[in-house]
Amino acid sequence: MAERISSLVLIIVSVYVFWGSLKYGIGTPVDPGSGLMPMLASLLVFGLSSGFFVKDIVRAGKHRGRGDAEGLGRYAKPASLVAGIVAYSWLLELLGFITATIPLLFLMLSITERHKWLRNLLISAVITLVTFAFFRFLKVDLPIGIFHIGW
Amino acid sequence: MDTLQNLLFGFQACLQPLNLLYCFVGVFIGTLVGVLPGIGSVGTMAILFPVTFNAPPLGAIIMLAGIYYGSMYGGSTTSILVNIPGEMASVMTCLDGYQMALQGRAGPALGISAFGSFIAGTLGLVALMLLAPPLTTLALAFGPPEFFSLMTLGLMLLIYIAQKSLTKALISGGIGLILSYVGLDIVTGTERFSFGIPEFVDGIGIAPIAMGLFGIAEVLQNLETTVEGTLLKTRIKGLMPTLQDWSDSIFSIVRGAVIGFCLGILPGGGASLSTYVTYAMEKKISKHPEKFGAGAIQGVAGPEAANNAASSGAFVPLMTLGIPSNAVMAMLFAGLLVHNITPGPLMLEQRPEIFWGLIASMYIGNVMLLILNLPLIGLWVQVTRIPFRFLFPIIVLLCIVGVYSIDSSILDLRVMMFFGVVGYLMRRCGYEAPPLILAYVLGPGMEQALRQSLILSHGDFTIFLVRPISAVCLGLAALLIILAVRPKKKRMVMPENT
Repeated sequence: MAERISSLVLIIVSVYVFWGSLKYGIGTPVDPGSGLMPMLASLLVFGLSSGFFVKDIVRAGKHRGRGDAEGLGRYAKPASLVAGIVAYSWLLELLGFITATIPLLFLMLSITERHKWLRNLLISAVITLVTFAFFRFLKVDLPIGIFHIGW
Repeated sequence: MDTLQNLLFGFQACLQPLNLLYCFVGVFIGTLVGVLPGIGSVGTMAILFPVTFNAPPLGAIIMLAGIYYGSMYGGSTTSILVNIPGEMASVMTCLDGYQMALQGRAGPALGISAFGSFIAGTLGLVALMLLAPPLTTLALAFGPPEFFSLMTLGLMLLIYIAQKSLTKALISGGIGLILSYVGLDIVTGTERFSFGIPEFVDGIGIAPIAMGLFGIAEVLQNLETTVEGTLLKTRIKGLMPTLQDWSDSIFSIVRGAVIGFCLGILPGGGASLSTYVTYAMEKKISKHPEKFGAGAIQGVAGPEAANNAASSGAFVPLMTLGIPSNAVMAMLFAGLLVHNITPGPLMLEQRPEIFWGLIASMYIGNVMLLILNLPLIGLWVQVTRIPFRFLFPIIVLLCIVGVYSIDSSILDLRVMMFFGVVGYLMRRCGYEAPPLILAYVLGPGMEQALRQSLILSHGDFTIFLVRPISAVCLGLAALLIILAVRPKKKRMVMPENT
């Protein structure tokens, strides 16, 4: 199933790029256009991905009934991290680096050791403050948000 | 004589206190990265990429290069003590290094690894110094067809030695090319695939892509299945190899250096392939092949020498032809471009202080690494004890701050996250990231070379076949594709993590 989905996504992307390339113009051999190289690359991806897609359908047809046996539980931790960082990207400039990063670090530490929440909170605060100070020392601008926490 | 004078010029540039500091920071971080499984040199270079924007060009490239060859030294520590390779190039060291440690000979294993790396690294530098100037002269005669064909060959080589599916590596390369064409076409002024987002007019930055694919994706994968190694609980003593150890391994070191440098030069070659080839050769020519895998010191000395020599060899195509031979060189390539320095045959003429300063810094860096890896081995042993659950938040935080600091843009953070998820899914589905990043870096150059070639030939594609060097390169690329469709067991593949 993963093979089929990934192939399908690649087919869709390559078709989109192919049509876009035609829109930009592939030009002529004497005067190649903007769309030539993207078109060639998209044809490569389309051709190979289609092959995988068809191969997977044929294989699935031969082994009907045998599905992917992987549980979804293994994706819980990565998914939590991704969700946390996505939320962080929305909150970073609003709340500021320190206010947004402490909860993110807390989440990351809690992903692997949920029960040690006080320790995780302390470590999150210390790492956030040290990181903020270090990067401000390097003259890297980090947002201080609407609460103006930081310098 | 000219070479010596140029080298002295390089030392003059490199021995500035600031450049020495950059060198030390680079090799220290490189060793740290090599010791810690979980993030490789490419991810680390991507994280530190924004720091180099404000650094002087020579300092920036010295630091980035130091991370690369420093990681070759550091990778052996975890291979020997924990049986987990810190770097892909240290996989072969696990086979005999850990066995030596189990036999109470961790010290000599670490020692011969460090000394072997130093000797091979130095030999590799001498070869780089002697080979690069004449190659540069040759490369000045290259035209657009030769460059296009060389880049194509380089991409094909990297794809050929892909660890898993060749077809998927080819698809990764294709995606990398597509990504490289996002933004403004400098010839026609057409905006391509920018979706109306102003930040994408200049293209998608390499730092968010690389940090996502190599940094965030690695963390996500390790979160899913964390590999715990057992640190050998033994006191490490006697780091100096005995005379017998030297006698057994000196020729392995020299052979490893030669093989490593030669394979490192090849676009698509690199440190990992050279260690595999060296190990196989040492075992084949050994009078006691049965000892390999059971603690043969040659099994440590040879591969470790090879990976360090390869790291010097990899600079040859980058510096002389302007073609990065692997993902690490692609990051260095990007690092130089940021400072408006285009690697290639003209760099030696126009910016000799960069080239010779870098070589001189690598001599100094190798000495620093010998000091870091022997007397400070206790420090690295403690580092290996840090559990991944404490490391990954720091890695993620550094990625976030690093990418945000480029342009203070939340979009870069989101792009990094997007490619982090993409990189993670790619790994789950068997697609590899190095062909993508290399194609991304080579894409604009390939397009420019192709266009120039067609303009030169008035639209005649046979220009790639009538020019000998171009024809040979394309022929080799085609041969690789033909070889690639052979059964997998007959193809030399990169060793997987043990």
